[in-house]
Amino acid sequence: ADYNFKFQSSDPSGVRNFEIKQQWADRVEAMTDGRVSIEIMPVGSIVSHTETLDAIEAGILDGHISVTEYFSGKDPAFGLIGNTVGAWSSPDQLISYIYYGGGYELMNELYEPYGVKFVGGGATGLEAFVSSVPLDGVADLEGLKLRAPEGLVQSVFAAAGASPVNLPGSEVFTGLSKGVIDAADYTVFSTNHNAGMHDVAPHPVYPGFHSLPLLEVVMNLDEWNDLPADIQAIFTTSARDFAHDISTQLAMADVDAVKEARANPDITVHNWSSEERMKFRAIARTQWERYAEQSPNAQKVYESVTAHLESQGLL
Amino acid sequence: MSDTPETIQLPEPERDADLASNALDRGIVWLGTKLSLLFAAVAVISTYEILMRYVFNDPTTWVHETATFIGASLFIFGGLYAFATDKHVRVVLIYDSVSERAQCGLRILHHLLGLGFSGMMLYAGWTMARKAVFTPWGAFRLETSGSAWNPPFPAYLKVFILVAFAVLTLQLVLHLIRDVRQLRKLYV
Amino acid sequence: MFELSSIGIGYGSLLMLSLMILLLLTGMQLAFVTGFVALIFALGWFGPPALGIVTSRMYSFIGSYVFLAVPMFVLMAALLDHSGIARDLFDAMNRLGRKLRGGVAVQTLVVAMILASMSGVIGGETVLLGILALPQMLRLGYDRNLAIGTTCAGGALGTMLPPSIVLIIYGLTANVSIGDLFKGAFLPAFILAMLYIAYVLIRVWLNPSLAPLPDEQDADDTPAPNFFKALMFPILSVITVLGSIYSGIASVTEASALGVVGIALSTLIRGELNLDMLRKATMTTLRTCGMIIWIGIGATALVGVYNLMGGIEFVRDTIFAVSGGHGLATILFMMAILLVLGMFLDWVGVALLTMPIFVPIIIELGYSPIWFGVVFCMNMQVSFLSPPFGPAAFYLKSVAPKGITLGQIFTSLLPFIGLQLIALALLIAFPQLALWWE
Ligand code: NA
Ligand code: NA
Repeated sequence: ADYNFKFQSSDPSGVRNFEIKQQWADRVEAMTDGRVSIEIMPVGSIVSHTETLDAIEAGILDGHISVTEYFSGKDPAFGLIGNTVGAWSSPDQLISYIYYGGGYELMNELYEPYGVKFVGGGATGLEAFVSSVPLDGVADLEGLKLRAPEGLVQSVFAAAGASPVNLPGSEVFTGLSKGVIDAADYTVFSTNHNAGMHDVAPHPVYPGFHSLPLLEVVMNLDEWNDLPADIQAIFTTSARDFAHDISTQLAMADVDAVKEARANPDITVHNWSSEERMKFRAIARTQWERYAEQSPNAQKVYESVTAHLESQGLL
Repeated sequence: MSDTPETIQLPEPERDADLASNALDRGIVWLGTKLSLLFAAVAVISTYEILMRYVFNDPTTWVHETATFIGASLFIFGGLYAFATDKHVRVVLIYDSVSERAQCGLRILHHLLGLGFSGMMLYAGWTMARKAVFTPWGAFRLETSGSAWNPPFPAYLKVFILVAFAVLTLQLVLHLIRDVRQLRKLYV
Repeated sequence: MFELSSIGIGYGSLLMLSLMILLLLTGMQLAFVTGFVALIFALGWFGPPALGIVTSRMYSFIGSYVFLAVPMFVLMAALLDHSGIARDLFDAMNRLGRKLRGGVAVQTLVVAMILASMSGVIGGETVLLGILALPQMLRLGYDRNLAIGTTCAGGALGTMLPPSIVLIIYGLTANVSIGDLFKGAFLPAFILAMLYIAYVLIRVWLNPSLAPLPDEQDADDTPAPNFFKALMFPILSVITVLGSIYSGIASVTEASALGVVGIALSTLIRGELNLDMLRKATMTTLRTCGMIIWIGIGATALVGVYNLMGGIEFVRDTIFAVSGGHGLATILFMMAILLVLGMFLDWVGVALLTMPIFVPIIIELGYSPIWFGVVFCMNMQVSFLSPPFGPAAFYLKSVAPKGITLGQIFTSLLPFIGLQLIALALLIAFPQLALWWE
């Protein structure tokens, strides 16, 4: 191949997300007639998930397929756009914002100083909430001990009356089974279910009402600029297809897993009413505003996202 | 069974000061006697977190990150401490069986390779620390953890790593000088 | 300029391994050897920017919350030692087991199993037993090799009996239920511990001089220990740690911190707590952790650079070339790779390096990934003891009485590695040992 790239994934190999990313890489190779070869590396195989942006800038990695909110420690803007908690009810809404609502241009503006090109993005899938206690609305969050990843999620849950507990992802399962935490913002329903989360926390909320992280394909900007125009077009188009591919595949896997969970007498799948979801979104919005004040870029994100939501009648 | 109770004794921490061969190493050992007490602080604040969460149902936002940060800083410092007192693990099968002169030569080799190690780490650590302290457009901004509490611990740790390798480089130079002198003495 | 990458990944792997072994044998610090080799290959293979892998991985490694359990368990052990609690406990236990030849070694293994079911890391437990049990056995005149082997192999049980950080990392890498892994590991871990106990009892039955019974005359002179005083504080601390994990009050790392506070309070009640004692204990912790964590830093750096060199594909291709896709042959070849890597690398490194490659192959061949996780965990038991990079041996060395060399520790461990291989073979031959509960 003329171009050999190494992209680090935010997933370990062997999980469905990783396979879907691998399929994208294979399609790029086929579409470029073998001129581009992309190797998808498992999470942590080269650097840890929070350090990939620096590694891409340094030229250690050529790119990553990862989650934008991991970089909120560099600029709160990444936290706000990477997981605008409560804003999106489905992956499609996020994809619409990215491709047709100004998100694409904004992401490229944010990443340019870091020497990184935002090739495309979508959602990891509609998240489901893992809980060992029944949750049917915002009021049930009061005093709930929950694990949430870094970023906006923690602040929003705190504002809703819950007590966020800092816990690494590796301790979520043990934490739930031992009652260290009552609930966790983990990942999509099917993955939670296959990991056995619902055996220890039998009150999942599906569809989730909280997170919808932005999943991004990015690469080193210099390497991007060196690519011929036709390969650039293949990258951007295939990344847009990847966005739909991953959320559709995960949604279908969720349907099967939800069916299996409903058939299990020990597991109760909860669903929130649209009133409760609106209440949560209102609380979330107060935190978006707080985040927006933290940096000029975060303010730009806030204006861009709320303008889009209003134009679509979602706010 | 050559062991009698008299020959069995545990390593004595106080003796570490004697193992240090120069003022810098002695300074590190002295600092270690102060800083190591922070391990006890980690235990205390972690217990406080459990109490707050379990008894008062009000977990803190700061304990996990603070405890991890203290631990990480002590891990870095512990490496310098172990070097100052020659406590780093070495496979001494061959080293122990050669002459004093050869041992001195091997030590000089280790210091030179060690300088290569710490020199390269200084270079890479500088790049990492710079990115954690300045934005790409040159503004001063400490990298934060991104949690609800959002402390600038990542920036502190990345700067500590840089400082640690600067100190290690200095330690290696002093040890190199010591062993070159000793080798000359052994040949005279 | 000469580019190292032109030699290819096959010769690259060989060169990397040879350089590491060569430098290790000169007596250079292990932490610096692995770090140096990682940096040289990063520089030679990719150029100066790639040096950043090493500092980046160092930063992520030390900032991991789970590792905080290491200093906490070390500190707990050091407090037990610098106070009189440990000595009282083992003296009392020897009273109880004095009729049994090899009794203290058996008790050490039983204590090791209790400790192992309290925590999931290896460093702390090996250090704890190294401080508590080893000097006591030596004082009573036990055979050095038997005493060292029992202490080290017992200490390593921490990651075999649930809870286990090895199983947690495996579960996250392979995306299988950690609860199932814990259930699966329990019986194999128990079998391994029973093999150790049986081995000790057979050895001392064949050769009674290996474990002298305490002198009756001597025993009559010494006052009978206060069992209540000797056992109360250790039992309380076990209840604190075990209880807080299983009742759900605390995570493993927090439980270890709670254990420290519990022991400190016990020493306060015993009238032994003062700043000097506390400082001695924290200094032991600082020294031990500086050593342990820096070895981990070197190993994790090496893994990152090797992965970037294309190590993953190279290993996968080699496995298929050697085994020809045959099931048992593949498993055995994987075991051989794990055993060899385990000789030189930290288990975190081995897991990160191999599991992304091995697990998909295992599932493809129709084996249970739960069973394979337990197999991996058992294999890593060997890696803790096998030279030249044997973490359990290093941990023990860091607290062993003066005069005990690393070489002697490794020699003592050989029979115990044999027992681990027997347990591993049993587990491969009878997968239901890990899957009976399904
Ligand atoms: Na354990
Ligand atoms: Na080993």
